[in-house]
Amino acid sequence: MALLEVNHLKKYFQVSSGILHAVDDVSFTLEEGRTLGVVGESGCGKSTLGKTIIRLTDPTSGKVVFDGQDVAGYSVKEFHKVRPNMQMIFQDPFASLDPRLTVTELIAEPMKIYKTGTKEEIYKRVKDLMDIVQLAERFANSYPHELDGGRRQRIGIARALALKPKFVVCDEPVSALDVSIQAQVLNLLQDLQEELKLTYMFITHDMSVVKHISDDIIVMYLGQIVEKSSAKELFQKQYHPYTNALLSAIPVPSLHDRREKILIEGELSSPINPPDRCRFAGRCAYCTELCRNSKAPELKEMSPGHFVACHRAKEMMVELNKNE
Amino acid sequence: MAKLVTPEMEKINKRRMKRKNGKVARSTPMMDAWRRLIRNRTAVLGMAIIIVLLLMAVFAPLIAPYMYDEMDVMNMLKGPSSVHWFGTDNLGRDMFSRCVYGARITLPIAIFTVAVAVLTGGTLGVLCAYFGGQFDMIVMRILDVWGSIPGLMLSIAIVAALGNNMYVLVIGLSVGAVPNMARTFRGAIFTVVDSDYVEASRSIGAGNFSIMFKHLLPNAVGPVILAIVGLLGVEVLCVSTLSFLGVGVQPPTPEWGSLLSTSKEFLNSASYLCTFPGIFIVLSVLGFNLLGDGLRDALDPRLK
Repeated sequence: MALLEVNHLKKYFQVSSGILHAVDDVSFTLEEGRTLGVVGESGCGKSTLGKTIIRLTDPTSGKVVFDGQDVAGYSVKEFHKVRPNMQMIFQDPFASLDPRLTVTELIAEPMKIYKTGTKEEIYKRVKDLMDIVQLAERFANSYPHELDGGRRQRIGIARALALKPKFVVCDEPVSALDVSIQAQVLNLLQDLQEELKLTYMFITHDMSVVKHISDDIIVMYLGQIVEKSSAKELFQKQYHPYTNALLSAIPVPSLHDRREKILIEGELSSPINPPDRCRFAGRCAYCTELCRNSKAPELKEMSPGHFVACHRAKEMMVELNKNE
Repeated sequence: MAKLVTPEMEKINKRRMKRKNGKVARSTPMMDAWRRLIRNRTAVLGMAIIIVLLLMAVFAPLIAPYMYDEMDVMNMLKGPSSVHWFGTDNLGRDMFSRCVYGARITLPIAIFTVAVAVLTGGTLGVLCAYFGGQFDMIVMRILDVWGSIPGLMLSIAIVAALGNNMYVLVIGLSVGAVPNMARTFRGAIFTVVDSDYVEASRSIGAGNFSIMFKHLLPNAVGPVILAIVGLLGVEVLCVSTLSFLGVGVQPPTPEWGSLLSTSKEFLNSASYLCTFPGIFIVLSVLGFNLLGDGLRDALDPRLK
């Protein structure tokens, strides 16, 4: 049974000029021990999706079935009992740690809230956790502003792991870090996944990171899933023009083997009161009259496990992958 | 090779090695602020004035040479002398003793007033900033109306309606200060309420209460402390004003404002009677204001 099953999840925000569709009818399942990569450009709702799943914001409608229970409709009190199983690592390690608490206090905070043991037990666990995330003991009494980004993100990881979660939402955990430190933190996350049997939902806009870490990938555009597949398959074959363009943007570390980048014209259209049409149509190089005038495309399974939401999916299968 | 250690470096090293509860003393934001504060001469002066006045209030019986209501009928309306430093009033009471005892009345009333205003106004402000939306709208509109009535008028009305004692005075004065306090707290919390660390602590299960008091307030402490110290000066002035107008502390209790009020009849013949209580009022307000200015510089290094 899947650990996490998200069904038709919607999150709308009421804004002055209308209703902002941040997450619009997103469904996926995630097996235990796997990593789901969520990619898309800024403002496509990937962070909101993560935050809605772990109930930092309440969903507008839809189901989040975690470990067999639909937690989307839970009250604050009921969700409090489930929360230790669902944790989050935040994007900005500079802003997501309270500057007035020491490293020890920061890591001990979740355990104090859930009263997981006596003071001694909690502080012993803090030491263990610091060891697990490879944070030297001498930083125990430091303040976050005294540490570099990588070390701060390790504090964030330790905080997320303190309650022994099954599922962790990683919201761009490395995008604020230097490249050299990104690799360290990514490797740490992978090691932890193996040791602690964690399930990750890995949100990022960095395609090379997602290639490195994910088992499955969903590609989001303006609050909707446009393509969903296993990572291996997605990097070989793309059926959606947007995915194709995203992947062509990965830098290639070679002087001779240059690929042609596909540049998407224009800007993200507004997520406020979007019309019921293909949301990518305005920027799509393969857009036809059909795309502009018919209803929004639904996710269709084009090959086993590979879903795509495009009116011209069949033609795209041929068109986008003709070089192989 | 000999190690090169300048006296400056030695000082820094010493400070670094200073141990407190077995932990190496570290620079916390608060400690940095404290260090900046004590380097600021005017702030230290303000602090010194406040401390002296507070000590005077605490040890009044030891400092004052006479009881505040002790009459010396042989020396009525006499100017400053070695026997009566600040002279005597029309009943032969020693002005210095009355001023010293006055600190016991004025300062506590001001301090309690600020405490009440901070507790009620502060709580309202924090709740408004944290919950926002309709609740914030309604509370703030009520406070707008409340704040549009001059504070002193409100205080006089309350004291007039509820009778004249210290508790009523404290309540009456704090009522005038609540809207401002609420706005200050609300503004201060607003700047931190959207921080990522608030969301992060919610993700580890922290409740509203613990977020407000463990994360929001400590991070908004700068402007809040400033407002509190500033309000202390204002309230000293308000207590004295009320007493001067005759609705506050009643004679013969030696409150600075009421001392001024009874002395004003002798302004032509014995001007020293007005001068000394006036000096004490000015000194205490000055002290709080200097300290407040210093705190602002210390807590917000960007302003320098």
